[in-house]
Amino acid sequence: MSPRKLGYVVPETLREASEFLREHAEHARVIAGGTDVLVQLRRRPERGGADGLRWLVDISRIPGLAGVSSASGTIRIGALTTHEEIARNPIIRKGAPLLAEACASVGSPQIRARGTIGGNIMNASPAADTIPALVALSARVRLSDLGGTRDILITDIFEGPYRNSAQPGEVLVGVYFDALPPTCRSAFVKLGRREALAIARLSCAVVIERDGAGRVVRAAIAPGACLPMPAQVSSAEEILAGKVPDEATVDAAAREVAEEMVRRTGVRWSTDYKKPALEAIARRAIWRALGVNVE
Amino acid sequence: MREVGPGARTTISFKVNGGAVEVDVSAEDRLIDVLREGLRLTGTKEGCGIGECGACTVLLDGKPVNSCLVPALQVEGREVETVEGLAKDGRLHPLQEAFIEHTAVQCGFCTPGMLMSAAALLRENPNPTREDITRAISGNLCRCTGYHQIISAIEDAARTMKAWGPVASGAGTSEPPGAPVVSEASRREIHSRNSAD
Ligand SMILES: Cc1cc2nc3c(=O)[nH]c(=O)nc-3n(C[C@H](O)[C@H](O)[C@H](O)COP(=O)(O)OP(=O)(O)OC[C@H]3O[C@@H](n4cnc5c(N)ncnc54)[C@H](O)[C@@H]3O)c2cc1C
Ligand code: FES
Ligand code: FES
Repeated sequence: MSPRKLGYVVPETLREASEFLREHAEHARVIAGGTDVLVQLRRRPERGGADGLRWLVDISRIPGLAGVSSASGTIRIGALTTHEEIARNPIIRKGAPLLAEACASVGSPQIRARGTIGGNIMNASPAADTIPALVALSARVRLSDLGGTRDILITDIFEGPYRNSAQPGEVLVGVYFDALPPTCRSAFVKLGRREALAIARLSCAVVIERDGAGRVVRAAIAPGACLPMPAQVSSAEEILAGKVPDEATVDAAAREVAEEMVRRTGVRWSTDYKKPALEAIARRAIWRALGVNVE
Repeated sequence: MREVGPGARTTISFKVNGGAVEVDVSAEDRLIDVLREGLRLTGTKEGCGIGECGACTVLLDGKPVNSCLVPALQVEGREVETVEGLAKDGRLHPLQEAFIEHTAVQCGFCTPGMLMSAAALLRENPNPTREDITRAISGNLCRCTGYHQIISAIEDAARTMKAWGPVASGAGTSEPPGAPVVSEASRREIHSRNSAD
């Protein structure tokens, strides 16, 4: 793995995990599927490698942390559930198709077989694919510690790129959100989807609910990998709200997503490329969430 | 709670290609280290070491994984299949046959990983389209062939395997009468490729 000397513990319960994590604080790190952690261990510390790390805390054998379930309209995904399991799970494909799409777009079959949703969230990469989908679903995450559990909004778990807001003993145990009703459609569109390993630099997740007359009663738009912090773009959502969307409305909403990105990030060297690309992706995602497939 | 201190070693037990093994590992060893160094199963290759190339692909409980990204300690009690497990009773797997036939092997570095991804696909989906195949090997890079020969080989192997009926995983594959016999030359060729360090 690396020249540093690492230790490894395999807790059997959440309590054991939290106790160890509290005791060793910044010298210990959770490992689930390891697809981020093992890459980080190979990096030199000055390039984001795991400096000062002494212990890996392998939570993969703690019972009850894997799998998808649903009860009275709420879907729960255990932290250890892999991208592959989520992508093919019937509850997700029906109740949150955009998340199934996001998970299916991750990496490669090998990465999807090992990478977990908990790791994707807690690694807090700006390019993590499940995050925009979970933001558009207004998901909540549950953190467990010695004193019990607490639930927070998905957007509150991020502190910045590669930084989450969990406390040293806290383990993410699951993600929760309401299943989308049949009146909702959703889409996740990612740039460069066909190059399986290009970690997307841009994506967009959209959920749209319409009434019997076709008017938008709810819209959630969350772009990925382009905002300083994961978030919805409410100014773009408002453009769609209450309307029976036509081409001009969709174009305006998509343009607003891109303009909001520029407002939040400022103009950068990449803006000339990113702005039109994000606008195109947002347009495609919105149309797909309206039931229209456009290339 | 199992604890392996920094620098300490411990013994893990798991199955490789159907057989139980015990290996001494440290917390820093990865599955690929255990396979290549601990067990001398050098068919599995290490290319990038960071999950990008797929040369190290093996099956873990039947699923293709990058063995460069799996800590050895996570393999305790589980089942690993490597390229060495594909041939049965001295006879190459239909995938290996097809790779030779279609010149899908050039330098051969990607081949073991490619074969394992393909084996996982065919086990789950005996009738893959070219698109299914492309997706299944999307985590396996090949710098030599341009993929077409590889995809055709996998298509062909799927047809052969269907004609023969299901090829069981693990031990005890029986082949139908009249199955093509591997030529000595091609057997030597793929064996030397798979076992070259
Ligand atoms: C080649 C390659 C391609 C990739 N492609 C993509 C891609 O297309 N899209 C994408 O989004 N990602 C991609 N990834 C990144 C990675 O696979 C995902 O982020 C994956 O979901 C991480 O999950 P894991 O279980 O492997 O995490 P791990 O590596 O085990 O952990 C990641 C981080 O989260 C923490 N952690 C994990 N689980 C918990 C928990 N339950 N509670 C508290 N902390 C926890 C760990 O301490 C660590 O900091 C790629 C990675 C590689 C190597
Ligand atoms: S060596 Fe494991 S993916 Fe490249
Ligand atoms: S044959 Fe050389 S990399 Fe594939």
